[in-house]
Amino acid sequence: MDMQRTEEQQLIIDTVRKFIREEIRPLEADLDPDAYELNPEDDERLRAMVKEMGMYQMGLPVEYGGPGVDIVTRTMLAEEMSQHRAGLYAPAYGAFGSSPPEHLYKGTDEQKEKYLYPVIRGEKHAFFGLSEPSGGSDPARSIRTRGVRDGDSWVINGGKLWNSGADTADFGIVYVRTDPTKGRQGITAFLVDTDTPGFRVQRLVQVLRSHYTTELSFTDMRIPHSQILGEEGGGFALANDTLAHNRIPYASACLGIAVYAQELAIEWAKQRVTFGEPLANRQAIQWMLVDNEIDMRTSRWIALDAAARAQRGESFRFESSMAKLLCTEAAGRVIDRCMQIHGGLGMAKDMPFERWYREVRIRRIGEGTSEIQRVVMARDLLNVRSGS
Amino acid sequence: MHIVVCAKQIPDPETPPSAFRIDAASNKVVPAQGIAPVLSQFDGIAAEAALRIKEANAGSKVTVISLGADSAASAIKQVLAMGADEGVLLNDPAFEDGDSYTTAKTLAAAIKKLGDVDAVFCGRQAADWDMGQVGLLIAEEMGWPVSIIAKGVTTGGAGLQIQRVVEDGYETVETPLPAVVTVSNEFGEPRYPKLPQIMAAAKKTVTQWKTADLGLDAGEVGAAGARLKLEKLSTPPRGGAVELMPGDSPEEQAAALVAKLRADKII
Ligand SMILES: Cc1cc2nc3c(=O)[nH]c(=O)nc-3n(C[C@H](O)[C@H](O)[C@H](O)COP(=O)(O)OP(=O)(O)OC[C@H]3O[C@@H](n4cnc5c(N)ncnc54)[C@H](O)[C@@H]3O)c2cc1C
Repeated sequence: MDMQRTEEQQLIIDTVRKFIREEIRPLEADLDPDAYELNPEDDERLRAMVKEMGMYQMGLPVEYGGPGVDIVTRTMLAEEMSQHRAGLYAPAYGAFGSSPPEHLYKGTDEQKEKYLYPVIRGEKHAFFGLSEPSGGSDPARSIRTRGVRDGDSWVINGGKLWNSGADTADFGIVYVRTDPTKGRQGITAFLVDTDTPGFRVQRLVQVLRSHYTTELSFTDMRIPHSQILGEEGGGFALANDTLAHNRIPYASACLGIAVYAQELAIEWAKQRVTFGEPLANRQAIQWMLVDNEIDMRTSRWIALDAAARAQRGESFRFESSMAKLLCTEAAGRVIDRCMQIHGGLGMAKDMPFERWYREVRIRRIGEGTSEIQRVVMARDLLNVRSGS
Repeated sequence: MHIVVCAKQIPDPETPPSAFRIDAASNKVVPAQGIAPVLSQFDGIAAEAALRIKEANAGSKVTVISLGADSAASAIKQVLAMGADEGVLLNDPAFEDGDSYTTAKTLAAAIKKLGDVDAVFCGRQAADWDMGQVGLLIAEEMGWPVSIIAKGVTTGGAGLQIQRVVEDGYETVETPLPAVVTVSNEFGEPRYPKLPQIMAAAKKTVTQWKTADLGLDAGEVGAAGARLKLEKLSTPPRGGAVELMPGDSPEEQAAALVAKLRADKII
């Protein structure tokens, strides 16, 4: 199997790597250790640079005016873009733009005009509203937010939890139970404007990472029928594949911080002398570094394999779950070992480790927990409906 | 205008000191494991200078030439991705272990073979050996005028107008074409490649020339033709000592520091 980078991939990677090292990392020296955005001037300047480079929103399909960079290359790039302190949740502080939520491509022409194109232009921002206090792993059963049809519109009551960015978003994709008798087929996705009467950001929920999430409540929120994304009752049918797609770069972004952590740890191990010898001469430390390398290389291989299968149009659901599970957990172990090698310095806010350590922990929960990835894989492997 | 940019691939200067090793027996730098070589920083700047002239003068063309191993093709591709038109790799085992003289001689032979070249842009020095000789020696081989350590290059006057960095500022000189210019970091940062140009560069074929293609003799290139003999290559001993500057105020300490640096002939 050929996992060699093409010349084109290598050139793009070199360019992004240089950008992260020369434009992003130096700025972090003057930022708060928990910062997740740049000051507005730097933000504007870097975005303009990236647009000039033709690398803004690289995943945006050609038919929507983007460069349509393929999933394998994007998987490789996710690993480059996260190689700085804020890189896991704010890769390059957003300088490379982000692609719109995949679901929006499935909208009607009218919905695309109202939501997709403004998001592409950076004029509107979206949140994703699936999880509820009643549970995120099994939304088909746990969604309690209820929609009742009333003429040409739906009246929605309930609430959501963990909605990143909902307090500043213009709209969200909100999953609502529209037919309690139909289980999974009774869930519908709505496009909900955040200025709709009855929509309320109940509270900001602080979490391990520097950027909080939100809890939302909906009270007699009236949403026109035309705001349904996809089919009524087709909330889950929507974008299943594309979500599995996204899981792959999500996974490889974790490898990026691991790569950077390992670089720092190797240097430190060679410099730091204890009992008359550098740490690098101690087998205990050598094995940690070797184990890091094993963790990173094996999981990278699986992520690239998943991406390659997706690109070839083969089934990749099992592989993308495996990649998500392996990369997030491997990165957690690598960061942990690198902190150990750095001793007290590994705990200091002067170094990026403590932030990575907190943030990478979330990755085993977000986008489907490790257990849920196993559930997905078990279903595939055993060809049963539910592994739960 | 047809400009040739000479580009060298060098070990990454960002290589951590702990990964830098010298093989004493062969007097050579051992390539650092897992750290890819890069385009010499000053050559990227020379490419930037050439590309700005190309953009300001319709119908211009930039060719990038590198003398090096197979891997040097990636340095060429990088300059192509910045917007250069064509690339030539001078790649022959006979070219190995040369010096500034054989490098310049080989590059000059390639420039002659191209034929219609109006100007050659080099970095002020290669960021690995820092010799700063190749640009000058190419000019000698070609019999062309040379302006070194440029912070600005534009077309104008007799051919090119060049701002040369001198000790206390810069001077503006004019040179007729054809000419050689070496470009310094004061010129500014090289551009980032653009995605469409990267895609185009990846598809381009890099021409490869060997000794015979250049009409040269194996005896006059590489180690065989070198005039410089490297006696010994070694890493400087690393060590640290701290000396605290006396003085009751920052001003007094600064004065003591200046006196000390002067006494040690550092400034
Ligand atoms: C920082 C952050 C940001 C988030 N952003 C968003 C967002 O923008 N939009 C959104 O909709 N959601 C978001 N989420 C929610 C996230 O997707 C859910 O937290 C996640 O899916 C888990 O759901 P839960 O918290 O309800 O845990 P539960 O589903 O209650 O699970 C609890 C535990 O039980 C395990 N478990 C569950 N079922 C099984 C089983 N069958 N077998 C074995 N173990 C099982 C789980 O793996 C987990 O360990 C975010 C979460 C966080 C922490």
